[in-house]
Amino acid sequence: MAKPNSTNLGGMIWAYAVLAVFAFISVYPITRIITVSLRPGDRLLSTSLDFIPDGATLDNYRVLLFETPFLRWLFNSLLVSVVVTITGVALASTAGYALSRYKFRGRNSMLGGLLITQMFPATMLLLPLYVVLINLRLLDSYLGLVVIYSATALPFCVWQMKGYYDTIPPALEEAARIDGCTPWQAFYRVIFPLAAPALVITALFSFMTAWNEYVVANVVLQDTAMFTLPLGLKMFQNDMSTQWGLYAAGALLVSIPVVGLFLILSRYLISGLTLGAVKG
Amino acid sequence: MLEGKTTTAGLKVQQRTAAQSKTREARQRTLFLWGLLGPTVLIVLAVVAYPFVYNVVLSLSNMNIYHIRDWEVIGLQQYASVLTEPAVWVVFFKTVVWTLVNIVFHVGLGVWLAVILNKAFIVGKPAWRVLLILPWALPQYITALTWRGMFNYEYGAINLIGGVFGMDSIAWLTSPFEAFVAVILTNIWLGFPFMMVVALGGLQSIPGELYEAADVDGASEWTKFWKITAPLLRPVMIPAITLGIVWTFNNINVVWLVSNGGEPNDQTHILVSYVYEAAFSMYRFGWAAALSMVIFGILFLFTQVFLKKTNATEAAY
Amino acid sequence: MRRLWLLLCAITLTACGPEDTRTQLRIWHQKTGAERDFFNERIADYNAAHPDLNVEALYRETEELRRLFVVGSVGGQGPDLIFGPADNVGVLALTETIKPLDEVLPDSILARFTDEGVVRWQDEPWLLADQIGNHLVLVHNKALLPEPPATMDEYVEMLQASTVDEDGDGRPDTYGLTWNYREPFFFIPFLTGFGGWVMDEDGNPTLDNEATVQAIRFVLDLRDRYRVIPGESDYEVSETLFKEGRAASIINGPWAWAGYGESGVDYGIAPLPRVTETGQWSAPMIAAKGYSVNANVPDDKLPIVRDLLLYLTGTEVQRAMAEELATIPTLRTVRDSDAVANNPELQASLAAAEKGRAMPIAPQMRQVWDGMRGPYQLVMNGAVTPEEGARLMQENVEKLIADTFL
Repeated sequence: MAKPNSTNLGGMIWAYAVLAVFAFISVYPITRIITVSLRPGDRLLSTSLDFIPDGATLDNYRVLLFETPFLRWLFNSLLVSVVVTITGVALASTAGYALSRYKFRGRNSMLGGLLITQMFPATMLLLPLYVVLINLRLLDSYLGLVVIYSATALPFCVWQMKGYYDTIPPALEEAARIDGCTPWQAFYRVIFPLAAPALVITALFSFMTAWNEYVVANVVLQDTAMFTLPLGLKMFQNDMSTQWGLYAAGALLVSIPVVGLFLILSRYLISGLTLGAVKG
Repeated sequence: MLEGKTTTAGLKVQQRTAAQSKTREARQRTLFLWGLLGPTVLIVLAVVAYPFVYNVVLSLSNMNIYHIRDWEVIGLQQYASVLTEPAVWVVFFKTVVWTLVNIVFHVGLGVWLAVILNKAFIVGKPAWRVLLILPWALPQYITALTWRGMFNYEYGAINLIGGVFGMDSIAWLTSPFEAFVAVILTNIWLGFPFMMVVALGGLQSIPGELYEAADVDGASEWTKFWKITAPLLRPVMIPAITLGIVWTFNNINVVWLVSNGGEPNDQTHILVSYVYEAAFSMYRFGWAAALSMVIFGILFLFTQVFLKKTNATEAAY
Repeated sequence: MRRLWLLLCAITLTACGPEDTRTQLRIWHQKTGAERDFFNERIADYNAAHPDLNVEALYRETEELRRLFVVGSVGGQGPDLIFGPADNVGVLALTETIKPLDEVLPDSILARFTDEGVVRWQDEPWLLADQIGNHLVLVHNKALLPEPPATMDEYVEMLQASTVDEDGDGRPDTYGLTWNYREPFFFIPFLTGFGGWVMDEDGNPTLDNEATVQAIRFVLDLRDRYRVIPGESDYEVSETLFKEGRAASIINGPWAWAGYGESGVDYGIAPLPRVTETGQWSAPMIAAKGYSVNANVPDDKLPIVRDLLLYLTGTEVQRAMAEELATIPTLRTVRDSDAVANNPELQASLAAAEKGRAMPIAPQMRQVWDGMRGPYQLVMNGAVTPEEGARLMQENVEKLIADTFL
């Protein structure tokens, strides 16, 4: 039996009020994007706070889908993001496992090194990376992007996977080894499936890294047919006048897949996000 | 040199001599380890190591608008120039404020909301959670530009809503202080869900009996939070906070997009955006490289001290 | 899962290597709106007429275009041609990322262009323009402000008459004038009207003087004393106000005019009025916009690039631009043709451009903009006095120049 008297009514109202206020704050900016995307003409600016604007129209969506290469960009972004996700999961799950289960010389510096990669201002990597990509003839190719995005997402993902493996008792694979499994089988058949919640987070994080990235893509991709969504959306922003309606409609459509993923995966988020700290 | 944890398997092989089996086992383990770690190490090194070395060389060079092709190594002059530039220190101070305020609010709001969400009586937890996670889920460049629109003096939702409650319009983006506040508000909004989710995960592992025992002793909510929740959340939060600090310190997106590249009067910069401006607007590549090395040094020292002070290395490594 | 990964890798790799035997030519440009549509059509025409070529045009923002071009060209890459305003030339020539045009075109061809049409720096030609423009003019909504003013005093009276607060909430519903008063580029006409200018012959800033102070004070007066412009106004706000018919006039350049017609405003174009005290025109900066050749274009590719360059700046294209886009041509033959004479909007634009003053080509121009912007915004939000603002502008620009050209 729950204990209804453990919290009083005031406390409950207060708790709900706090949640409601923050939920409102979280959602409100998104409603503004929706409103702008429905506005006729190119008018971002209006003194109206109405959710549905005067003369609301889906015209921006029609133009976006049928008169711009939006769908092409969507495909490109999906392709890059999915490859990065798979690479991220494959590499982070194995590297995290090694770092969690084995003690070897250089292990601590490797973990520290991964954290250190996050400390360097990413903007300064642009120039040398650009030179490297030119020399490797990787401009205007997704391979360069995939490698860079994977490397960006990996440090966090490895830490995160390692943290989760730490919570799984080593006795499990010891038992598997006694039953005759190779180390790889013990990992792949026994531990890997148990780490599903953390794998989901790793996948989500890798996907988001690739799906939302703009700065590097802007340097690497020069052919409009190869653009990813963020680059495509940026095209609607001119020097001095922005096609805000198209931009907002695009922004909304770009957000839907990530938000959708979050919705589906949100229960894993809680159990899977362990930055190497929860010890059983 | 490897000492595997899983030694039990070795015991099974009794036929061969102990020495033989040991070397074989060790070799296999090395191979297995490299199989697991190799690709990650390679890919991270490929993307980070070379540019890093390149940057170290640049930071010792005179590469600028005059010497963009024929630059040469000139020593530590750029570092001297960075460290004696008063504007750098001002920006550094702002970066520290920016990072501190953001992290305090990210963690404070995140933990607070997580504790509320974790209460037994809350109905519809998944729905609340989803709503509160939205700021994290949306692409940053989109939300940053949306917030910029919302801070507009004449048409921005914030002044319009304020107007409904009879508040005066604030020139958010044109006054240095207000613009900085606007940038921080935006980033607080973006960052609290991550900490909330981490905290929620941590709360799940705190056994309910502890609270029941405290209830028996008649402890207040406040006491329970500080005596039970806070200490037990600590090991979960420290690595997240460390990463959060590093990420926030180096987060150029929000600052750049909301303030439109540092407006007004380049007063809304943090160190990374300052680096970007120096390198790509003024072509002071050598100088910018030196500054980025300084940033790296600051963060490196900080995390070492922070992790040591909080004894988090134990938990983190 | 591994099989899936391999499959996706295969897709990724093949997606980036479609065999195309045509010679690839790349242009980066910053043309917007109607001009961009026009440009893309011409490129398509050119591709259709040259089956062995594939010309690809990519739009980038002005700043970003310059940034990425310099980085790319230094790395030995980048597009073959870039299109941008003349004030890029100083930086690009200094960094040796573009070729001098006399290595590409014979003098006889350069001579076909007007003097402003071939942008020179340090005695060498670097940019071949397809238009003279970028000049700010007074655009007025004929329904709200039927006749353009001749002097500033007259203008201020008109503005006061056309600023209306219908609902009496203290916030005008229609403003007399609006413009992007966050960007120093839009401040130049006021500066010149009061007799000032941004730099001397040697590229040293000349901002800390009475002309700057008076110009700033005048802009502040428009807002705080006469209350005829919005309390805060950037480019987007101005555009919205004018397009919605909530501003009687706007200061803006050729790139924006077509948009006003599209949103149903019956507009007229006029030079910005003379400042009454000084008797000088409020002269906008005028600058050529055109093409430069990447320094990395190899000799064997140069003839193809030259042909494309001559097509894009040629008679046919410039004539069509004058007719459809009302841009001021740079080819002498087109300038003197009836395509110009018979286009009233182009005539109005020319009249305004004649009052203008050429933008300096010196690479320091970039530091002038960056250094002016901050103090200008500080003055406009009341943080510093006009005198202080003028001094800060000078100091800032000097510091930026010293930092950059160390």
